Amino acid sequence: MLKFIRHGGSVGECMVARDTVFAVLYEKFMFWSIIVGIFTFGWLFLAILRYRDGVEPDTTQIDHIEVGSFPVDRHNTRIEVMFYVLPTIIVAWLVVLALASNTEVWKIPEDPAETNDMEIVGKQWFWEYHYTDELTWEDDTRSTGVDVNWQGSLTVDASQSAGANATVIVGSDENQYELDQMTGLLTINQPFDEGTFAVVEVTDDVGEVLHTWMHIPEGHMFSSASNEPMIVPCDENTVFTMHSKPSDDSNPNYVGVQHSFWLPEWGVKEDLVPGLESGTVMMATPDRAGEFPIRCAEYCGNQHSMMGGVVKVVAREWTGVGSNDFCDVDTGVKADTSGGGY
Amino acid sequence: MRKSILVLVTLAFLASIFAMPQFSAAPNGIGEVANVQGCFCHGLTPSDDTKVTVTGLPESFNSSETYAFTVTIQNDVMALDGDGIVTDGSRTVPYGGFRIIASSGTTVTGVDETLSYEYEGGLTHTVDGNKFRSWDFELTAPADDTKTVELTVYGNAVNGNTGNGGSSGDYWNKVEISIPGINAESTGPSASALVIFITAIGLAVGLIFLGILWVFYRRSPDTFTMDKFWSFLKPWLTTTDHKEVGVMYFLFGFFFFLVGGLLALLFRIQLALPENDFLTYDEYNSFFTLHGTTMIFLGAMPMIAGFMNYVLPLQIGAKDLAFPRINAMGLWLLVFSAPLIFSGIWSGQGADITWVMYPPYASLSEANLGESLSGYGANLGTISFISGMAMLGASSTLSGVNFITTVFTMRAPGVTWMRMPLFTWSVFISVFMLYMSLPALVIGVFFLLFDHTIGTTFFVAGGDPLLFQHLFWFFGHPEVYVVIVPAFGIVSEVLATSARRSIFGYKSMVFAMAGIGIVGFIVWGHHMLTSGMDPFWRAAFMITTMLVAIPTGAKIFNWLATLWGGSLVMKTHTLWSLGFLVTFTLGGISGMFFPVAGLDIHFHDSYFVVAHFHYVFIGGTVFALFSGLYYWYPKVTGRKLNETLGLWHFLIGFSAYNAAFWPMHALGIMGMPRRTHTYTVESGFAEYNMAVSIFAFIFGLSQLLLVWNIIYSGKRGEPVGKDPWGGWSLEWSTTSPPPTPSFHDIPTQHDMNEHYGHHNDEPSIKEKLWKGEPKEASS
Repeated sequence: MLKFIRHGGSVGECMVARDTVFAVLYEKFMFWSIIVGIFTFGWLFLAILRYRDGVEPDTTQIDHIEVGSFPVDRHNTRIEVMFYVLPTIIVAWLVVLALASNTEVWKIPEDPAETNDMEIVGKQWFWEYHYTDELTWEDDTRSTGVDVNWQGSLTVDASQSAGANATVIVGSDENQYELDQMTGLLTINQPFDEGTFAVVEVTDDVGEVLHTWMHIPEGHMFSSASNEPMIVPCDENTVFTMHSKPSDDSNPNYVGVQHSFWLPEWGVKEDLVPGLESGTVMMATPDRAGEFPIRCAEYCGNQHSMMGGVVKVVAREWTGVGSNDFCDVDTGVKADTSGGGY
Repeated sequence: MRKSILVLVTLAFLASIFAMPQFSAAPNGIGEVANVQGCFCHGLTPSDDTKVTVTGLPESFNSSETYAFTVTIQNDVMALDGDGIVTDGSRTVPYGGFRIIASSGTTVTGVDETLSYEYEGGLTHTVDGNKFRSWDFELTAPADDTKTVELTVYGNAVNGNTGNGGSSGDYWNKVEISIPGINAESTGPSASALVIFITAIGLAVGLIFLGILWVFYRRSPDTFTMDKFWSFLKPWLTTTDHKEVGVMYFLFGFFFFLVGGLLALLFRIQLALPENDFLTYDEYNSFFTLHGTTMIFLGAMPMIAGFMNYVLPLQIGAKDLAFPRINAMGLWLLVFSAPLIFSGIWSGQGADITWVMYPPYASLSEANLGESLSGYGANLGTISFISGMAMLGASSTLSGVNFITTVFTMRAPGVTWMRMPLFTWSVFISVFMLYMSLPALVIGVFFLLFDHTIGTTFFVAGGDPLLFQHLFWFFGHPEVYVVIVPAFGIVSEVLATSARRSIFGYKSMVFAMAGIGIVGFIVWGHHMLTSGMDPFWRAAFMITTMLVAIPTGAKIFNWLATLWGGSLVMKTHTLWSLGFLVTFTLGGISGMFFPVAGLDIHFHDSYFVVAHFHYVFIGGTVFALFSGLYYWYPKVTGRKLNETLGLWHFLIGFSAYNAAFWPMHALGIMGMPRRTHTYTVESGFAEYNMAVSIFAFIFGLSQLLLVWNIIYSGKRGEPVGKDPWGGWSLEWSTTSPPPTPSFHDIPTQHDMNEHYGHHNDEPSIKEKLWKGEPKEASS
């Protein structure tokens, strides 16, 4: 079954990234399961073959099995105790492995500055992704050949690519610009405002998007109801604080229902409990760029199965050599960090 | 005098119980919803004098294309108020009104937006729109051109009077139009899956009744009268004999096992293909809700109760149970709770709250949400479903009291605590757990019922939804063991008898079951590991849950040691018990994955869970019940079940079962959530789901072999004596079938250990353990 656990992939592919707590622990548990399985089934099939009727003589007389009489007890204290001790040893070791993972899963940094924080709101039947930390990201400059920079003014350098046009969205304004045909450059003298949602999309002459740069300000919200993905940065601990809210505020009795926010790629989920003011908390550390599914795991009513979404893992904006790693750093869980070997 | 008062009070009580759910259900409940009578404020019935014409719509539609159409109303015979012509302007047309309701996916808009607005899922006219009898609209077809657009257009000819209520003298009519998409297949006759399903159950019940009638008729065709049939049937309906009650428990459970299986097959069709729409959301949700509840409460538990009722008094040498009437009452409470659980379907909306009934969803209803928001709450059928659950609680409590008392007080001489057959031990432990845990469920279920009917808020705003989860699982996890522990008992009996040895480590088996019974009460939190529980408690519940593996492992090893050194007779019941060992071990191993928080946060509510509990429920409980059925059937009927049919039943059933449920593990790891109505093509779940569905059908069909075997062998099976398999316990000392009361004289159980001494563990394991010798020889 290990082949279902693999690295990355696009939306919908079978997954669970290999370097998650889940995958590491799952392999260890599989190992011990197979050992126990081989032992038990080996013994079982050997017993069936060796002591089947016809091979051994009738054993009724050994224990004096007669109707209406409790037969002769068959026991051996040492072996019976061993039958308890053997599972105890395995269970004890599995508890050691499991406890190690417990701290790993819920080791959520106290200081919000260390992590990328998001607030997830589940409603019947869609997700809302609220940004409590701002996020500026762009596509991998090395593969698109386009570099977008926006400090005092916006500069687009598409000289290494087929980029022809740029769409710039600031807040609700959308403007189209043509890149300089010779140099592939564009400069717009508009200062960067970190409180406004902004997108720069560089397209080629047939309108295909080559490169996206996006600034998501604090307090911005995406929603799966309008098919927007949740965008999170790679190689950072993203902490999700999750609340279940009602889809309609008109009745105070209606406080929303249970949902469960599941990110199968990183093998994590947590319920959203309506009325729980502090919310529930979960953490994931995306390791590589891509798009992965979001699912609702707790039955939440009529359209439960439609309550899905997409999480898009991106690299933070590239501002010069050494400033960013384009998701190249291996930040995944190492097999040896959660409870040693087998 | 007193009796009639009692009857009156009872009737009044029953009437009020029946009336209670109706109060909240009445407004739109089992009738037509407001939409259907679009123009009802203008008179309740449509008038043929009014003609509604719709022009401009195509024969079939293209995907997402927009079509313009015109609705015109004509009524030349009606009396107009005055001349019916508008007085305030230049227009010379009489008044009129419209309402248009389109099937989902289709949008209809007015060309002049001031004339119409959206109202309750349809388009209706504004005050301005009232001043015409002809309007222009645009229809945007759905994107899916395999669908058919259903359009209902109501037109009302208004006479223009303003006094006298305004609407009197108006006449309305409607037209229904359906436009197939260009790729729609010709629509044959169709019926909702719910209707098909209820019809199937109704037919089955009818067939069973006819079958009983036929069997009775065939006994003596010449002297048959309905009176005689009634006097044959009445003893069965009024019996308090533990054997007859047991048989009825089993047949009831087996019937609902098949019903639950049928439900599963219906939604396996839905899940076989990605993005399938064989079932609607509502149907799918209520089907899996009913499947879970049916299988556990109406299938597995009654079948177990059947074995408990029949076998336990025989095994301890009792004439009957301690409270035979209470026992019969438990059965009939259960029988009547079944229609209550299912009857929600007749409201058009079966219960859709899952078998775990998690609030707030399960608490939300029209009673506390109000009509406009009721779409966010649970279906109407939930009320009767929850009432049925409460009745089940009563039924199981009565059984619990009865069996505990019986085991405590009615054991025959020689049947001491440590000389009881293991099946009796397992039943005792299981009913004890049931009895101790049920109050939590009953409280939770009644609070839910109050939330639904009288609008309390136990589990909604101001209440605590997590409280219900604790109450439910405080019952629910012991319940899981309530269902599996009697299976342990059956397998212990069957394996020991088939190996022709006594069970290895009798005492350690008893301690293991008792240990499971005790630890079972402190593990419920592992069902809630992802509910925001404090990490400390996650770890605590993780450890207690993993402790369960220790006694369970010891039991499995003891069974294997029982086989070792035996002489295993391969009968059908042996095969099912060996099959139990295989599948239950697999289910037990996968069970070790859940308590670990790091794994559970991925597995929780995924198909891996579905795979796991089907491995322990079917591969554990149901396989053991099959084993018990083949094992004790001769005792009940005096005839053996057919071994050839039994072998095929095992071979097909066991292999199809594994092929159906094993891929679910993979689906869970891949990220398929449970209770999902459908999945996308890209998700990659399609192949496995198709395989699961195919093998589920084979597994389901293989049960028909068992049904046929039970019917066939009752008449033609090989007759047997008292003890066909060579068992030792007291039920084999009486005739097959046993007399009523079960023993004329209370028997005495002897103890071979007094004569021969037990196989002690003295000097050499090699010599003593496997062979065993008489006391004389060893001392």
